[in-house]
Amino acid sequence: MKTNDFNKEIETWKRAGKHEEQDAPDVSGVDISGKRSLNTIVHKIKRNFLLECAIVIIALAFIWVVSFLGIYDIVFNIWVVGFTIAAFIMAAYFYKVMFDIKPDDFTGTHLKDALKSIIDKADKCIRIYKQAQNICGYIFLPIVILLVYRYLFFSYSAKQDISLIEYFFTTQSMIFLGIHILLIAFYYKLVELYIKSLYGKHINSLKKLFEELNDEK
Amino acid sequence: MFSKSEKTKEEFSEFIEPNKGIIGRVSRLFTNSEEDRLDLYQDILYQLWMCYPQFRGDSKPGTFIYKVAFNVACTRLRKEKRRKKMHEEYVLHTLNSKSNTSNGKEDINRLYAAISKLNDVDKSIITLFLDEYSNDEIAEILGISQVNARVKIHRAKNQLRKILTNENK
Repeated sequence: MKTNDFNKEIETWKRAGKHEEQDAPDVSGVDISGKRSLNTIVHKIKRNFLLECAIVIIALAFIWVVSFLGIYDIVFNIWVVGFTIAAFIMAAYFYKVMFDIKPDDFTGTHLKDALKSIIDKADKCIRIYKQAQNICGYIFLPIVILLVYRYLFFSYSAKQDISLIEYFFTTQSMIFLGIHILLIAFYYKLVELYIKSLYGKHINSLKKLFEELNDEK
Repeated sequence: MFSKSEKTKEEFSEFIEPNKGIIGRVSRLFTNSEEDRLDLYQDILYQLWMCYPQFRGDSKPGTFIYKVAFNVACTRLRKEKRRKKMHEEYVLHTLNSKSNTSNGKEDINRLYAAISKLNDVDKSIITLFLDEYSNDEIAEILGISQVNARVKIHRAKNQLRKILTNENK
């Protein structure tokens, strides 16, 4: 290797190495037996997924409590049960997939393969997860919105004797439908945004590093 | 999995002890604070301990340690904001306080600070290059082709040279 143009730096580096050896903690003094790093990008992705599951569970528990108080009717409850089961199946599946991504597996290999392994597994998992979120959202969301709308109509018409068409033009109905049509219209974008902020940005930082390694220009 | 008996721990310590400077270097170059550095040091040691049974002696211990150290350091979670600035300040601070016994400490500080300005890949490449690893070994540690390694070494050296020259002005 041609090192002549960097001889001075190599000498400096060697001197620095001696200091590093002096400064480094004694290996036998470092507790490694029970230590497991939780500060990796993979752990962060897993942590975000668990956080998301926890939020969904809390939201579902809230809906269930409201439901048991008898505010909504039985048809709504059936859909809540359906949604709960679907959410749990999805969470269990993705937790299993996430569980298979272990940061310890690839530390023995070289950097490029290690990065490729994490990116492939995490990227695939998140892509399927995003699709699943979109499919579930577009099936359940309109149904739940229509059921709530139906409930609102019945409670409104019980007080004032109006038809569904008349109710459609009331302020309450317009606001409700307006908000929810916007929600459905932007649902895809919202899912994309939140998945990107929870998982995508971490995977992208690894991809960037991988591209730097790959770049042969 | 390999049984990690006390004897193995002893072997592991003997394996790491002569190369702990490598872990120290990588920890310093890839972190922003003393607390982070010790954390990364411990993380690398932990991963080395986990991977130690896989080491068959086909390559130099240093090569194996660098592989694991770079994998841990590069896939570690870091806060990007102010990272580079903090890093540079940290490198200068720690070396000023710890290397004051040697002559040429300014050169060491200058070199560390310059390397800290490079991206993670160039940082890894320059670390290996300055440790006098051959092009083939660098390619093997990073998992890239030899041609790619040569190109990257050349580019990283130019980058480092540019930073060092700019600092001298």
